[in-house]
Amino acid sequence: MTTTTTMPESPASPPRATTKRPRHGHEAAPSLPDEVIVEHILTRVPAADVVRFRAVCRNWRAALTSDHFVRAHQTARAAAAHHPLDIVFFAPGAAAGSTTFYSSRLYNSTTPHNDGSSPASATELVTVSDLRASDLVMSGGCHRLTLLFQPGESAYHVINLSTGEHVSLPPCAWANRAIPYGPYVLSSAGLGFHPASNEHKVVRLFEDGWTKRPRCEVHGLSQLRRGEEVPGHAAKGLTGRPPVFVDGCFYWHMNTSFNFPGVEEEIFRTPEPILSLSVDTERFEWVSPPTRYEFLLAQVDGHLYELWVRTPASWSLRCRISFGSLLPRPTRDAMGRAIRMLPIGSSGGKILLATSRHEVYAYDTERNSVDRVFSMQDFIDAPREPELLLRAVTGVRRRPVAGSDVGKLKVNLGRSSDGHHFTATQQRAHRMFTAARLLYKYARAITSSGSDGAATIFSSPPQAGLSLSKLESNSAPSPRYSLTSHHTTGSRRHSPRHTPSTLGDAQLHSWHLKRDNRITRQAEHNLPLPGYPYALTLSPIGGEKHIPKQWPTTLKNTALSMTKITAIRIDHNTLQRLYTCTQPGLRLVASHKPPSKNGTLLVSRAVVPRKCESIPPELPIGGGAISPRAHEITQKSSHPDIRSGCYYPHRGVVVLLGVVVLLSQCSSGGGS
Amino acid sequence: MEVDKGKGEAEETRKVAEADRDTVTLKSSDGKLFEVSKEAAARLSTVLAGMIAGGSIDDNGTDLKQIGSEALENVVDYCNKHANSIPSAALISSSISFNTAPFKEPEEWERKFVDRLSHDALFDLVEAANFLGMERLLDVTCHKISEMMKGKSPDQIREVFNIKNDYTKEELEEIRQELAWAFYDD
Repeated sequence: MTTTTTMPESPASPPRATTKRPRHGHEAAPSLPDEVIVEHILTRVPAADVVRFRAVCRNWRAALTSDHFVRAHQTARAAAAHHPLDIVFFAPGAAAGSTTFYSSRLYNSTTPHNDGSSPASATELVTVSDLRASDLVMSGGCHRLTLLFQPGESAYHVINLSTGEHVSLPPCAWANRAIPYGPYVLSSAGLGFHPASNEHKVVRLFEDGWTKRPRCEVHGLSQLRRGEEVPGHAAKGLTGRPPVFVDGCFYWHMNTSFNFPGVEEEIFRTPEPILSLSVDTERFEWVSPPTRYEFLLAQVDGHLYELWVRTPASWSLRCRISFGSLLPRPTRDAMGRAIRMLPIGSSGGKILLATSRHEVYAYDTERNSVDRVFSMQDFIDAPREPELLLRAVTGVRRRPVAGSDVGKLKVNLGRSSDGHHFTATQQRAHRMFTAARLLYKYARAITSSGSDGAATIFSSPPQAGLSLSKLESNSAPSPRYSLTSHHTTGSRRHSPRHTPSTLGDAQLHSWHLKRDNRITRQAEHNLPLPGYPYALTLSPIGGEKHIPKQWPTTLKNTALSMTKITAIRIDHNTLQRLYTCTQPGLRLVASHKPPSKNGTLLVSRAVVPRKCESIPPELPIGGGAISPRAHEITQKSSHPDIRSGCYYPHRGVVVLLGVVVLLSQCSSGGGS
Repeated sequence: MEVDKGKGEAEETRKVAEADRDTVTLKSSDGKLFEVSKEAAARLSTVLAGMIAGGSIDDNGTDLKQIGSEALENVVDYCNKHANSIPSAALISSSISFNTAPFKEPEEWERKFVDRLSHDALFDLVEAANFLGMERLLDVTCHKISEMMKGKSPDQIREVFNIKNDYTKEELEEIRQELAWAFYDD
């Protein structure tokens, strides 16, 4: 045999020799090129498996934790997803104190599917063992991350619904109430993304319970900056809904008349009813709405929408929906039975409207028709018309009535792959009435939260219509500052020599820099942790940690792996605390600044990501991919376990507004 | 092997001399000859397309030293089946970058095609597809492997991929603690 043709080198041809081991039995396998394994195979593996496979070898660990891979994995998984838009809701999990998140595709619930399958099927995304569903509110989302709020404990968590990893933000400061002993606190938090630093940020605007001054906390970038002073009375108009995050800016709707009817409203009135905060510059600005009518903010398709628009200068009208002429008539009537509704995103050119009856309708702008594409009643015995949505735009205040809309919540998970059948246990009664009332307040946050397509509410008064208009976004926030690199050496586990050759050195280098960026000098101080008698020194990269043996495993940091979270607390008056909790392999970083000059002792506490015990074997990333082995939730009868007289508003919350729209495509929403 | 067109026996005798054939002859590392339609080869494989366009196809068998006869037989088999089942060409993107193009689920015949392969044959096929720049075949086979990987432990993965564990015991323990939630078997 003579070689008459020379084989051109394939562009992707591996530099590595294709050495084959002698085959004996099934044990010896041919070794594939690293590039094929990493780029073609591992990008298709579910996220939870990817995390576990870091333990295979050093090369894999380096490859799997690289930003390059994380991006490619997300892209590949998102591309593989058939249905880009899913409804995510949650319910009490099987184990007491746990919460299970589900995602459901949009389906046409008015007409059965062609193939005869039940249109109502939901996939269990993840079960988190240490978050109680009864005390949980989805409070916003960005990309793959969702911000959860526990009103009872005033705790915020950021969860990756694909993997179940979650981190808890530092304990939040006490927020003032709108009315003494009143039900509502003046606080609103949202999750956003800062493209310049490629990091997520949690911003909380609230009125400090002690100083009675508006404050803003930014949990995020490891660059300490003194933000601008929060405008006066800024927190007075917070309605409890999370801000809308669009194009690098948070937008809060200030509605002082909601909290303070009467004379006080005049006093606390803000210059404009919309307050914006840029994550890049950390500056506040007042935004003029196109109308002085009552309105609500929403984000659809990554744009900021406002309802009830007349002739906006910088707003452009997107569409009007006239409820009187919607087709078909039965669907319109069913839709009209709900008191309130809100746009929660768009799918395939249709605008999705969620109603307070736990249903989602898709509005076709061209045909002026609506289809019901999701109904919570298919899964959970939800209260019919809970009083916990937004009040109507018409200004009729709906006071939450305790106990009137107690939901019977029961989830039956049936026909899973292994025939496992169990009933979700009821959660215990809510412990605090005020917390429950808070849930009412915060319930609206749930529907209006979303990942990339967030939403807001508008009312549907008879004969009324709805207008969606778009705020012409300002120019994209320029990266005004770049991070300075604090080099830390000795990251032995991630030294470049373990890098697969196919991942470019440049990429790895930047990855290193980025990781090192989060390691600040302050982060390496010894930190006395309140409540723990010993000091803790943790290195962000690991290796030099000195964790006492008695340190509980659950307190160890399992940082979000596929997504990076850096959490710092920046108080705009004094920089109080620094928390960094970053990317895979990175450890808890906690620090404190020395006592300030006025003698205030500033104390830090640790970021303690919780451990997630139960992970389904197959986790779609982002919720777009539905695994075939998913559990199906079917509609079942009501739960017998509700004790009379108990106050269960949270059930309604859980049911009603545990609705979030996840977009599998993570491109929009200020992500790039 | 139940191959319908890519026969491995007859090509020894088949020495076609004409220049304008509509097939190309491929020669495996161990000298076996396989014939595949020129159109299918050019459409499915970037490398073969480049060779056909560049005129570097040898009528007596284009030497593919890197590919064993078993894998090449599967490749040819796949090409023939693909030519029959899919009329329109799937475009091939650059194989250097990550696969960002939407991945279509394997079709039924593709699923069957890879399901019947043994473990070794599957890995060989991946390698061959990578070498020949056959994007779709690579997608399908890698999809199969990634499905096999779900829920496996790192030990099993090492065995499957023939990877040496270069962690020290302490490092491994550290990783397991750090990612304890991901190891739901313990």
